[in-house]
Amino acid sequence: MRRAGAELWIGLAAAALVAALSLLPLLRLAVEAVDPELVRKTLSSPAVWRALGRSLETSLGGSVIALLLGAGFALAVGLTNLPARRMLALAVMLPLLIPSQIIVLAWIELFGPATRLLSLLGLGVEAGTTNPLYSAQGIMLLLGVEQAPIVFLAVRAALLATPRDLVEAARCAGAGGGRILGQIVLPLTLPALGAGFGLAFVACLGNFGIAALLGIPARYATLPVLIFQRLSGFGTSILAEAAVMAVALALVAGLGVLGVTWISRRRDSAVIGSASGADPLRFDLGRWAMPLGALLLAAALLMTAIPMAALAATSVTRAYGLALSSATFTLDHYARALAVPQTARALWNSLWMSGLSALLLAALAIPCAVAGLWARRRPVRRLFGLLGFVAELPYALPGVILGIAAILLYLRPLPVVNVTLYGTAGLIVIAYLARFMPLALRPVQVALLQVDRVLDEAAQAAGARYRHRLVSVAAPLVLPSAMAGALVVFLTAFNELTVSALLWSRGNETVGIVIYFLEEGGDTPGAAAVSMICVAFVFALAALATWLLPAPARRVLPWGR
Amino acid sequence: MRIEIDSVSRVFGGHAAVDGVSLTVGSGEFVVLLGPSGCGKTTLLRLIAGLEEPDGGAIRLDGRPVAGQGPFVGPGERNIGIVFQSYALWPHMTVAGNVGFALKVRGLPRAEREARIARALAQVGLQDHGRRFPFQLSGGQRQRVAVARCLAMSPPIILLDEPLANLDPNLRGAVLREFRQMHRELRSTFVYVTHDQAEAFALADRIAIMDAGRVIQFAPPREIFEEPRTAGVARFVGSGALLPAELLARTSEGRMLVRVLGHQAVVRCAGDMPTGSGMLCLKRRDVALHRTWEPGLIEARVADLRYQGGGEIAVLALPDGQEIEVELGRAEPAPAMGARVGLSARDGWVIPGAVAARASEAA
Repeated sequence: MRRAGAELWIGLAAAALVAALSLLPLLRLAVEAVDPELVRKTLSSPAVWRALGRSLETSLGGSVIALLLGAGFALAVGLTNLPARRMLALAVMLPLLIPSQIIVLAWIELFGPATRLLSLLGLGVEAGTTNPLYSAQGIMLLLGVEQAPIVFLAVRAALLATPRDLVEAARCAGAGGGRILGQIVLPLTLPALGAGFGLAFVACLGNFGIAALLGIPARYATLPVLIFQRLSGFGTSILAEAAVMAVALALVAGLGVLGVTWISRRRDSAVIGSASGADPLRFDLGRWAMPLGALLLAAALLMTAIPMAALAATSVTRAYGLALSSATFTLDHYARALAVPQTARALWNSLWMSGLSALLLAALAIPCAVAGLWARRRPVRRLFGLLGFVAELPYALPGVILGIAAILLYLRPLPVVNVTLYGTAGLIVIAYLARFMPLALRPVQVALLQVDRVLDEAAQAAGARYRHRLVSVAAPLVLPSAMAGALVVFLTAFNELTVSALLWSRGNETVGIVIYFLEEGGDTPGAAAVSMICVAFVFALAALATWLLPAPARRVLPWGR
Repeated sequence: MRIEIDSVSRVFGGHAAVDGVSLTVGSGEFVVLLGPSGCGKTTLLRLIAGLEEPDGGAIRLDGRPVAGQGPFVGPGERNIGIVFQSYALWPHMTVAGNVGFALKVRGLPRAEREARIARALAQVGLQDHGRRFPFQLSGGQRQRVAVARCLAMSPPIILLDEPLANLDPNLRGAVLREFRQMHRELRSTFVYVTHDQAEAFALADRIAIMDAGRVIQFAPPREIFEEPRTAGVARFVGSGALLPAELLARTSEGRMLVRVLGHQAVVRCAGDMPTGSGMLCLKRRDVALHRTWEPGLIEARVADLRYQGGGEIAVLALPDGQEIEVELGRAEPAPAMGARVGLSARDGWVIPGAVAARASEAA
């Protein structure tokens, strides 16, 4: 039974790896937080309850705004004859490529003294007054902008998946446009609206960049921010309390994740008929099409593109607060920022840490997916189904949970080898591997499910061993999807802030950390300059990869559909 | 309700899916649009429904213009019922909700709506399924719901787009019978699209054979089978041989002396068939087998033998490479494989379109 040997060996290795990366930290966290005395002590603090309440409040507000923005734009793009719909869609999806801490900086600049936008609107902020974004409402607004693409993509996909026959059958029954929209199209997109809302809610709960940059000046701390503040203030001595807070956050987020899973299952079972791949309705807006299109495009640009322009202006203006002109133009901030060794080091760190994570995850995703999906024994497939769910958790749950769990697990030296990972770059890479594994695994699984199993069986009949089949049959077929997954991992990890904020140490800064501390320290032009470098790099890489990837794998990228 | 289609065309990206089709479907008639995939039959059905607008020509329902002349009448105002290939059941509505949707749109009072939903569901044998959702039904039940939804409005025109394509093969026979019965009872005008000949011949009063966007023959099933107008129709509907023949002389009304592969026979032809060269369609029961070949018979070789349906079938290869099947008598011993045999034609049909095609080639 040498053949079964390789299959068993690779399967066990894949399972052990997923368990070690995803399951072990979460179990360690649960063990830490299970002490009733500790739970009572932590939950007796009013600050913890206040932070949890604020997390819920901003997350609900943020996901409602995301729902309105995302669904509104998706319906406008999907169901009308507005001009420049493709451009509108791209403008709405822009926040996907820009990390939240940079969007916050950009919005602060938009409302800042140099842009005079508010003055134009008659809401002028006098010099010395507080920026209105430093408030609960500001946090909700930006959470909504940041998460709008998630709802947009979910609703857009649902519209495209609506079989055209369903609408035509209603037309033949005599229904008009309004009735078709209200009784056929919208009910069919309802599950997508629910799923999009749930995903946005869980993402808002875990957000750190927006909540910290806007909340700390306003003395309004959400739970992730409170955990971060306590850890920075008291160090690892309050780790146990932080664990209880993280578990509390995980329980709330877990409800959201369960809700989304439930809705998605229901949706899958309900849809009958094949997707048309085209939009089901096209309302003719007549003479309103042009003005409405211009208005919506302006609104979409206001979400990201215009604030980013304001940030770009800040990064090349001599002194903060001046208006940009040929007299005040300068590249000094870039030179100054890059001259700081910490910044250059952080750029390099983010580059190699996210690059290494992306490559490792893409390489691991292929055997993991094959071991799970092409397993001959039913219990093995079940085990991998369960592990697949576990692997989703570090990504689906707020990042601060994984951060605390990783500290707990790796604080003390590893047994046998006696190496301490805490305080090293290795810990950040391990955390990235755990957090972003679903981004690499999912595309490979989807690609593998589309491959007919008989290709493997034919190779088996031809006498090829398991390892050989893995390398020469499965791997080439799913390689483009694995590469696209790696790209998504890299782009996400490069600008990561939440996990790094808990795990970084001197010498191991990431760009997210550097931008955060530059802004917190009052060097707004410096933060703007580093932000622009990151955004330019990410956009160039995304454009290059989109151009290079083959068409089916491009669908893995959120903007590739 | 009578459907008049008057040189209607529909162009998709420079390609004419329907190309100058003229067709009149009588009130209460059952017409099947038959043809290979991509021939334009579904587009023609969608033009009748009002789901497509013609690029040329006109459509009239009982003399009322609905497309091409005056304002375009949308599908909701045409009084049609339609069954889609996918059934297109609304997944978020119950069976009763699906069946009653059109009644609700038209603002029928609740009591009457419920009565008509119950009647339509009873017609397809799903009385007790009104509260279920489509995903709780089997494929056959979904198809019945789609039919009930179409019947609820008692529309004067019923359009069906390959309604059996997604059905288990062993259910099809029963459903075909139900469609015939439904047509007899309702006396609505039926237009039914399919690529399956057996369905077409089993259902139609008249069949419209379509190819490349045109109707190439529109006639009752028997005529389509026995008197195909073109070689294309003959090839599409029946296993037989198409052989070049010399058309020697008319013998009587609708009969003609022809010579085919050295054999002379009197066969059927169109009333105005000119003499000259043409194409003869020979089907299985048109020929008689002779154990040995002699001059004056068509020469053939036994290419295959098989037992089917209670008799021995010989597949005979003709000199030009075509094959024709002959049923052997029960008592006859089968000829040997590869043996040279003779064939005579008892009957046959001269394809009228073939001569026209040759005449146009010559010109």
